[in-house]
Amino acid sequence: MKKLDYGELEEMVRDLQARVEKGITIEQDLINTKNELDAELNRFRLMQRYSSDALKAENLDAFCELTVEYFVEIFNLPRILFLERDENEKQQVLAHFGLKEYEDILDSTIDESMIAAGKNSIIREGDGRYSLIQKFGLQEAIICPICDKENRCTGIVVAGLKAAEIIYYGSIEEKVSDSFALMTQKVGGHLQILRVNDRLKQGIAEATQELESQAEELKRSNKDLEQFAYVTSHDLKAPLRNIASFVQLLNRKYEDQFDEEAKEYMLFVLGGVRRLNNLIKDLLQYSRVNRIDVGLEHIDLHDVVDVVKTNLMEQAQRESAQIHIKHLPMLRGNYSQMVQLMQNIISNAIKFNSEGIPPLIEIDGGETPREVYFSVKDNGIGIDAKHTDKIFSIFQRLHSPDEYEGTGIGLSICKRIVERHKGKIWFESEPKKGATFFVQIPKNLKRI
Amino acid sequence: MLHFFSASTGIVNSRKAIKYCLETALVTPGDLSCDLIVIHASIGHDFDQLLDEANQLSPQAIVVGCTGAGVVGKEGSNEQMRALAVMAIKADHKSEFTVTYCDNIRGHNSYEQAHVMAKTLKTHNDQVNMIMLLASGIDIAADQAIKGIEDVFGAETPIFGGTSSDNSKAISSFQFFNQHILERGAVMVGFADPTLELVSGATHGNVPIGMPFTVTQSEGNQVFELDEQEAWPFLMKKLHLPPTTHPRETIAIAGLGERIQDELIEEYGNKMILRVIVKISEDHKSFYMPVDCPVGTQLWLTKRDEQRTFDGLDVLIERLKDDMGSRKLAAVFHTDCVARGRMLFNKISKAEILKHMQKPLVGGEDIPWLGIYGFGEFTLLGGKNHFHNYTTSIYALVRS
Repeated sequence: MKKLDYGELEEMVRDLQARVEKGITIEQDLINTKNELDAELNRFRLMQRYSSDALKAENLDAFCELTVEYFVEIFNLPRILFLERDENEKQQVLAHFGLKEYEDILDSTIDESMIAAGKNSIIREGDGRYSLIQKFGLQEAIICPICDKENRCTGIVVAGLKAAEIIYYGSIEEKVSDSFALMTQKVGGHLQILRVNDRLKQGIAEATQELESQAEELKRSNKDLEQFAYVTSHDLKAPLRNIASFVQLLNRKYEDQFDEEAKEYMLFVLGGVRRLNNLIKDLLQYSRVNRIDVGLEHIDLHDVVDVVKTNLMEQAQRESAQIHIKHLPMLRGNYSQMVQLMQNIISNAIKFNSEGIPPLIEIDGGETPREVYFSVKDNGIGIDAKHTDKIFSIFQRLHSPDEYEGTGIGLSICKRIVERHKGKIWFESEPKKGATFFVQIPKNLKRI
Repeated sequence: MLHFFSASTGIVNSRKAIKYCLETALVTPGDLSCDLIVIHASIGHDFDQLLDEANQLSPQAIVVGCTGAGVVGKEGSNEQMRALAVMAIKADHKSEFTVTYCDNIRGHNSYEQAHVMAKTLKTHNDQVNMIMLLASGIDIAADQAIKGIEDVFGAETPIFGGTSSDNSKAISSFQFFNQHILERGAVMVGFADPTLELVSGATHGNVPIGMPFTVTQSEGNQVFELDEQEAWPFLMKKLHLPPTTHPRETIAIAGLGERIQDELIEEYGNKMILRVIVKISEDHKSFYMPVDCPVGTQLWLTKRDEQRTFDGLDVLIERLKDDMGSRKLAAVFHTDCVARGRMLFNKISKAEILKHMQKPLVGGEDIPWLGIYGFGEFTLLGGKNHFHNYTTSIYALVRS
């Protein structure tokens, strides 16, 4: 082997050192390449996270804010403009980041020429569109339209840097174009979903508002009617009492002078006055159910039925009615209204009897963990199922006054009382087979 | 007694980011009051917004901080354009810390500026027992700054911290003091909590390559000639790069090694202390070192050795744990060189480095941690204050 002299050795050392030193730069290049790949991976990871976060955005404002912040984070571009464009190509700024000082002009800076290519592009000095991005202080920008299915531009995202920022972060690299376009496409998709959701929400809100307004109007109208009924019936009471008194006086004083025809007329008048009096009385009761504040107490329904039986004694005796009581629960309610309720149901049970068959009425009741209930069963003429909806409505009569006297208000009062007690009233019946009315009232009522 | 709380985030909106950090660190969203906030932010954040929001959220707090190429918190590292890490400090007594700043520290006046700042601290509080220094990283003679402080507080008062950086471009870096954003400034925090002690250390994993070259002409920290050739072109030639190259392109590959005293080698785990070049003369002929570089100084080009990087870190952490003994860790400040971030390590290696650092040191506890990727590190070596580059420097504040 040839012996090397010092000069040759020194040359070899220098050569080796040069190779090692060159190795440093090569190693650094490899690290840079790896970091670029890391950055690209990170971009896609962030885009994935964006998709998930965007779905959670509560409203359009939150979504837009989130979107521009993600653009900054994903692309390391500190200035973002996010515009929406309607069918008339009118633009509005949805959000921006780092462009506050240009807020007043942002909606008018982007014109058709900037997105004419229909795809994303990078604008730098020398580009014909450069002066447009300069208007809001940008030296470089990447601009990408958001397109719908028909390829119509529905929005635009612009991301860029000021001159001073390029010194730190460098120029926008062409290689981000694809991921920028992908991100913009995602934004478009989410914006569309949000818009549809918004429209649905708005529709629901409008419909709800309409319903609420109708309900309110109905409530107000009902209240007016009640007030009208109350005032009218109350004011009618006095003149009617006068009419009744004078007609009775007239009848008593001149009865002898009336011929048969006049007597018959007088009976019509007296009957009319009585029916009108009953109607006014019932109307007053009906309107009073909800008008007045009533207290609640623990009520034994046996007591209620006893009072009702006394009140209806004359009617019951006239019709030879029998009333049997099985079991009746205690309940919490308003005593007077419970008497009224029970009285109206029992009175109907006596009244609507089958010809030639004395009324037989069975009253029964019980309770569940949450409610108490009772029923009044009769053997009367029954009710056709087709009248189910009609029967509890005010002034709805199934029979003419000639057949069965009444005002058509009694069951409406019952319904009102039960509803005020937050309960339910219904019946089961077949024509000629009697009817059973059921009432269910919740336990532990605090107030009505 | 000083109490420490930390958090970090990648939230890009500066106001939201600082709010998130303070709320997360201080836990109680309704009460963000504290006495001192140390902020580390990457260069893309809106500093005006950061400082204004910090002031609004915690009006009585003094805010200090600086920029870096990235930040490190107990949550991990983040070198994104907008990364933020915060250490919020509550003091039982106002006298437990004192703060000052200057707005123009450069290579030629580093001693004077640091001296004035140190005197201010001492005037405010002569019980200061450790000093955190966050200074501009582009143009500072760090050894002169250390000397300026030591001439006031003595060489035994430990100095820790680092120099600010941008995103490794070596253009401009920033420091914060309350609402002031400084470009060539420095902030100094004097800690005077008698229950706290500093346990610190630094490590790097670079090895020298080939033959050294000698400084043949210099003035202060400006090196004009190496081996009697124009310094910058000489160095660039060695790296197969043109002399027009900006120093930012060389940070990762042009770490210059300077031999340390033999007695420090064991503690440092390395024969070389490293120097980074972030500034050159306008004519691209000379360059500036971060410390004085007298004629005759021998410098080596160095190369990162991954195995030594990890091994050195393990050794450092073990030593710190030994030094801490049974004392309780109150908080960790941490300065890493920009070149130890993504510039030299990929994401996985970087995460691995942090794991080697944080996990054994905090031992599963929730210890406040504030770190930054800066241009340089102020860290004790052999019990004396030194300025380093390319290191991981850990400053563990332990409760005695």
